[in-house]
Amino acid sequence: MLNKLTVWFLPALAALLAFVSHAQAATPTVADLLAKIDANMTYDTRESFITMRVTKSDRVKEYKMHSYGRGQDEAAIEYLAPSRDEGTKMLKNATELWMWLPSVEKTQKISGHMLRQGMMGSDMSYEDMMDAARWQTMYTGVVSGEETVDGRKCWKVELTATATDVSYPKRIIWVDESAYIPVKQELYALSGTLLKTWTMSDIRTVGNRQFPFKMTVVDEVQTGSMTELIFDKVTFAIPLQEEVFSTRWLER
Amino acid sequence: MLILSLALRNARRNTLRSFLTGGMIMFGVALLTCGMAWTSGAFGGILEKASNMMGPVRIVTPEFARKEQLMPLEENIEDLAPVLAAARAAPGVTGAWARIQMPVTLTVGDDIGEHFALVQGAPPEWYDRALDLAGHIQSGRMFKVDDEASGMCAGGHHGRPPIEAVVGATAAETVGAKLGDDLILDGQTQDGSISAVKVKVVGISDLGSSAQNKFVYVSLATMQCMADIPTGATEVLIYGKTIGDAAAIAAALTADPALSKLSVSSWDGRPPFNSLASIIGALKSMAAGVIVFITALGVLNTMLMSVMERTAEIGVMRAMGLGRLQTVVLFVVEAMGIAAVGGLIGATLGAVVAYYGLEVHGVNLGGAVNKMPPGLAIDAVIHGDWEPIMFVQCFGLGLLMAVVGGALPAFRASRIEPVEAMRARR
Amino acid sequence: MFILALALRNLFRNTRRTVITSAAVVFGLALQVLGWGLVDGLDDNFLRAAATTTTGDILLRPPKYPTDGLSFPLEEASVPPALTGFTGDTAPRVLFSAKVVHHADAARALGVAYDPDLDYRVFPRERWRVQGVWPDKDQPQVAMGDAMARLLGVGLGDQITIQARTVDGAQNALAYAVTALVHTDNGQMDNNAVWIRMAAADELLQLQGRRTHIALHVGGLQDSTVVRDEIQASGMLKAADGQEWTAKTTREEAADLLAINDIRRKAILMLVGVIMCIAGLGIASTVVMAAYERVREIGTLLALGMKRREVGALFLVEGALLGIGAGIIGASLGSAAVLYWQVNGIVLSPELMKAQGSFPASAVIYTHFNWAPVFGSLAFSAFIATLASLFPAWFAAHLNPADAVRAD
Repeated sequence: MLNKLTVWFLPALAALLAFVSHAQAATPTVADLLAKIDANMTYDTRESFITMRVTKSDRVKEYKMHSYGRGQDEAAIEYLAPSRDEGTKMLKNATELWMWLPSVEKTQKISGHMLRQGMMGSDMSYEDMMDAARWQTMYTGVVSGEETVDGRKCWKVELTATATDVSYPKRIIWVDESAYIPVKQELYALSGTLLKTWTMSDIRTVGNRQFPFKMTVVDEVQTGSMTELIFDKVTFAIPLQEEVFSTRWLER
Repeated sequence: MLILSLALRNARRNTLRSFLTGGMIMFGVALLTCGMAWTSGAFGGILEKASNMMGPVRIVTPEFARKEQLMPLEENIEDLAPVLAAARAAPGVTGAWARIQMPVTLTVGDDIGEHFALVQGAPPEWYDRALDLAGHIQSGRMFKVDDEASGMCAGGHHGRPPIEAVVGATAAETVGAKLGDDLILDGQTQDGSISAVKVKVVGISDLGSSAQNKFVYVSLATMQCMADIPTGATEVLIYGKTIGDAAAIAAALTADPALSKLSVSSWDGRPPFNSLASIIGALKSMAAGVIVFITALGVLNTMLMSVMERTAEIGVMRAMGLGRLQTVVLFVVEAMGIAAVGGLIGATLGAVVAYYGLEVHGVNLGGAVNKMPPGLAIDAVIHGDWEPIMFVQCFGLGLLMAVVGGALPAFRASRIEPVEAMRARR
Repeated sequence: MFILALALRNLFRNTRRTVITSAAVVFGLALQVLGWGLVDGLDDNFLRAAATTTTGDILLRPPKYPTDGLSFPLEEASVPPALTGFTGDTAPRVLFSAKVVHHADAARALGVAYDPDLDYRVFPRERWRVQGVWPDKDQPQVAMGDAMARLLGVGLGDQITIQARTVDGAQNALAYAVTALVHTDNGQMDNNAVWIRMAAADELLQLQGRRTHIALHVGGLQDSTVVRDEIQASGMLKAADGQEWTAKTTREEAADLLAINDIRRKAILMLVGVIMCIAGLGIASTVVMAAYERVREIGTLLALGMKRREVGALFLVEGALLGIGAGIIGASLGSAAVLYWQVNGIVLSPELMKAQGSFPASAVIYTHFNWAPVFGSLAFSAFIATLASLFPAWFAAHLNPADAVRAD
């Protein structure tokens, strides 16, 4: 429902707010904020080269990935390194997650218990990936104030899940006021125990937008467990063939 | 020495009686031999079978032993060559092989299934020694190892032959895999990366119980590739001729400096056997004790009657000056003499039956009392286990029985007043 | 009938001889019955381990809940049936998959939510070894399997975090203090279980009264299968929401483990067979000796006009009577022992209680009484006794009276 709001109500609101915000830095509404984040972070198409560093106590492992993204929902990822994982591919759309392993040469759908596992053993679960852009449908919230995070002035938004089956019943996000990037997210369990912290940093200007070139996920329950995503190269609005986001791409 | 010759003469004088007593001992000793061989074999067989699966002697890293419950692939022996060499050099070792076990999800179709199974990866020789897998193939055949393909984890493509696997009957049934099907094993490398292997089901095995039939068996190389442990494994399993050799082998390997950083353990030091072994030892002794006791009772009976019958004779001898103690000795010696002959024959007879009948041929206990559905009926041939030392043991026990069985009547005999004895006619 | 009376009188005439021969039979038979009792009890021992830690005598689960004992989908938790009319003890539980985190170490665990007032009635704790104390009401505390605690390096009083999913799938995590380390003898529990009070689990999992398991204890000498069938037929298993829960006895749950027992049972049976053969031998030799000893008596009988056939029959009957009589005594003794140990159990040595592994074997062995082995072994002993008497009977009957009288 909030989605529908985003579609036609928001442009009006945005225009209004844009007018208003020049006049004063008024506290935005949650819906507005979320919409702005989406507007900033969603791209028609993008291509990135990413290094994923997974740390577990003393063990560190690095993966290199090449990914394509489209809109909020679609992503295609291919692993380039280490050689053990080279050629492994993953494909995500709004509702499903697929995997293709060179040793098996068969498309396999990731579902059920497997969704809850960390991708490549990292602190980001497949479920987290699937849910990443789904805040608007899953949460309702309130902007509770302003804080400075990492030297950036941010709106603090407290989100509560609207349904009982949402993976993280509560989230707090700090949204950079000028870049509209959620520079820090705290993911909470139902009891209020902090489970994970996502931070986005190394924000650079690409074209007419700002993009975080580093994401970090820290497991707050099990000490010493952390995953870092470093974007080595990002290109936006590149022409992509339709088939990239289909299982045919997986099998190529 | 008079007594000795007197005893012998007595024995020969009444052949039927001696024959009966001797026969009693003979059968007793023969049955004792068989009983001991049977208990030893039956219990031993069960223990042997179970310990074969987990390795009579096992070498792992200490961390693996500590976290074994979690099946930590990352706690592995990285370089197998020196460990295997050291293991094979130990005295009494008939085989040492590496193994990797990994929990996986089994998938036949498109969706990664929710069916879990445990995969074993080991060289074919291990499968022969530990499981006799080739002998338990229900349909199809044992898998062949093609190192070229397995080493790449990617069999079946680009001209490489498919990786073969044998699947336990229960696992196959649960996931709906049939002979010739492709099965995908979804697991993890030691680092937690996704790892999957496609295998062709070339055989379905039935090892007797549905618990044992939930495994999937592949080669060591396949597992090494899947777990990303290129030259290592999580366990090294070591075998001697029988599980009785395990203790000595374990001791020798623990002392080996080449293995000082690793954990060596014998099967009876690991659960579940660390507690079961003593129970079984106790049961074995009890069984032997029971047989001895009952046979002794029979001997006692025979001897008693023999004494009773010869009261008059005893009286005469006592009257002629035979002392009480000497009377006892006389009877005991006579009994031992009979027992010696009877026991010898019995031990030999028992040895033959125990060895050929029980050990070599075995007793087939298949089927009768069975709660499992027909397809999974247990077909167990249990073998006795006759050791040469049993010959000596049973023979000795036979003599013991004679002494015990003959002593009481002998004492009674010695107490009979000579006059009384001569007067009685029985 | 004359022969019967004579046989009886003969038996009692030389009591000592009779007693000794009987001793072999009595002992052999008692052992046989005991042996069967032990073997049947073997099954019970396995079942007992499972029954006293995870399943009770009968285990109830929601209709869609898997019965393989390997997966614990909390989403299938359901409102339990009221079980009105059931007279035994009930222990509702919730089993769930959880992650236990202790600093940098984490392990998958089986969460066991229990009702503190009811649980111990179905899962008695006398034989468990518990270090520390069970979790307190309203406190964030849990008990942990001792092997699992060792694995994670958790000691009494340490804080752990349990991460789990609510029934609907939302993530939840709470910190608890480990107040007890538990050793139940059941390896699955000791290696994986974390016990949490139902109220605390309600908070962690948002149960709202839903449960995943109910364990029933039938008590006394009732047969679980019979009771289970009764319960199913009575409709007691229907919950308020219309769902009908499934019910399985411990025996059905443990089918896998029991299969291994079959082999053991047969091995022991062979042993028992050997023992009986020896006992039979004892009877045989006694009867022969008796015959030989009573040569003059035989001669007298023949002289008095008894036919050889009748003399032979006499000895046969004597042997048979001995076998049956002693058999009854032996079987009674054996049965008494089995019945006693069925209720009280044979306690194995204390050392064994220290060194237990992941195999659900108990340090106390229970026997199990059945009528079949009693009658079977009685029949067997009568048969053997008669068989054993055949030769001597023939021998006695063909004795030359003259030789008989003359011999001494």
